[in-house]
Amino acid sequence: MIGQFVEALDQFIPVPAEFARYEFGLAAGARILAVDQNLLSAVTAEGMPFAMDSDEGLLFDHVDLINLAMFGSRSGQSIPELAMRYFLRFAASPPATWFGPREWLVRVRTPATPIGGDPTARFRMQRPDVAAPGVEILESDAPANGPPGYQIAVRLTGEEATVRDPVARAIYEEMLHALGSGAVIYQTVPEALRMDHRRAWNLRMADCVVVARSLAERLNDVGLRARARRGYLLALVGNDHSWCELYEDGRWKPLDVVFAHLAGIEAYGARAEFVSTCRGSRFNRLLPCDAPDATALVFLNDQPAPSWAQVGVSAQPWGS
Amino acid sequence: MTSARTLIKENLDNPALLDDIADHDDLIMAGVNSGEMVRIALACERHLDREITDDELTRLKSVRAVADLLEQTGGS
Repeated sequence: MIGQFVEALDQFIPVPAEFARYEFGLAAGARILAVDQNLLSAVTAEGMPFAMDSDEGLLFDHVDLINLAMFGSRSGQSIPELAMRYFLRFAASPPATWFGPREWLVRVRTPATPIGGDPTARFRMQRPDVAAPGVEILESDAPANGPPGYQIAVRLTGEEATVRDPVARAIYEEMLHALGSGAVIYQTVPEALRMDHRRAWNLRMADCVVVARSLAERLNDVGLRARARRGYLLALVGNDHSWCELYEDGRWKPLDVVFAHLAGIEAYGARAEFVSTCRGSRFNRLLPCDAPDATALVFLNDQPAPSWAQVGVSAQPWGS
Repeated sequence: MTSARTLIKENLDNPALLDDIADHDDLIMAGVNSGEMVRIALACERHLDREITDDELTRLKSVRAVADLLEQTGGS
């Protein structure tokens, strides 16, 4: 099994040292990978980036661990692989279900336990953009019990459309090809590097935020009106997702290169027509938030929260 | 309901968390994290011996919902 994890080290780009946060110990890292600690030690000897702490021993960056799990597991059963399959399961449903009005109850909470044992840790969460097209608020309230957060009932209505502008389509296709060919690797990227999206793209590493910000910038550079959005994909859990929007025909049309890329991967089971739908259509399960330029959705002590400090996002049919 | 609780408990990093969760409580709001939710969904698929549909996934938010899903094979 070690061989596939060692090979994986050549299949993703490790987090550059200046962006890395080596905070996860050997035991925690092995749990993420669902492997023995000895195996992770052996992979470290083969090139997995780490820091050595005199008290805690080997420490790893959480993003590197997630990428190692995603590229090294190859079982289809690691948590990152399964999560991706569940998030995209809607793309296997009939296309008619992607656009019609759908009512959701969305609940968002901060982590239940203090981060790093710090009881003064303060979280701030970007709220849904209720002024966005296709978003209609039905009810809004704070949860009665538990950690701070919010809950909102929304009606999300999708729209089937296609981006017509040939320049926009060419840039979109170029970026989609970059991911598909492996010229740029689709992988997890730390939040700080997401905000330096040009550097990330030049390093050949991109996730949905890097792609959305890069595409919006390229479209703006050629004189088109575009913006990067960020919000939640509502599925088994609410998942942080980012996409680009182009203003055309008097309305904002989404351009989702990452959805199109993932839909092209057979293991995720998306319908063939889903790929072209990502070039202009709005889905009824993407809840945009007030996050200008696709900046972070969650802040910890006024800094973008690290990848491991995840909020809980629950989404289910409203009234169920 | 017993087997639904057992299935969920087996997929929590801290199984004792479930003792404080009522049947209709929202699992995620009660502290279950996304990785644990993924493991619960996978365990349901293995129990049912089929893929869970997107609609079923979006409803899988409480002990009661897990029990309702498992009841399809007669064992909640």
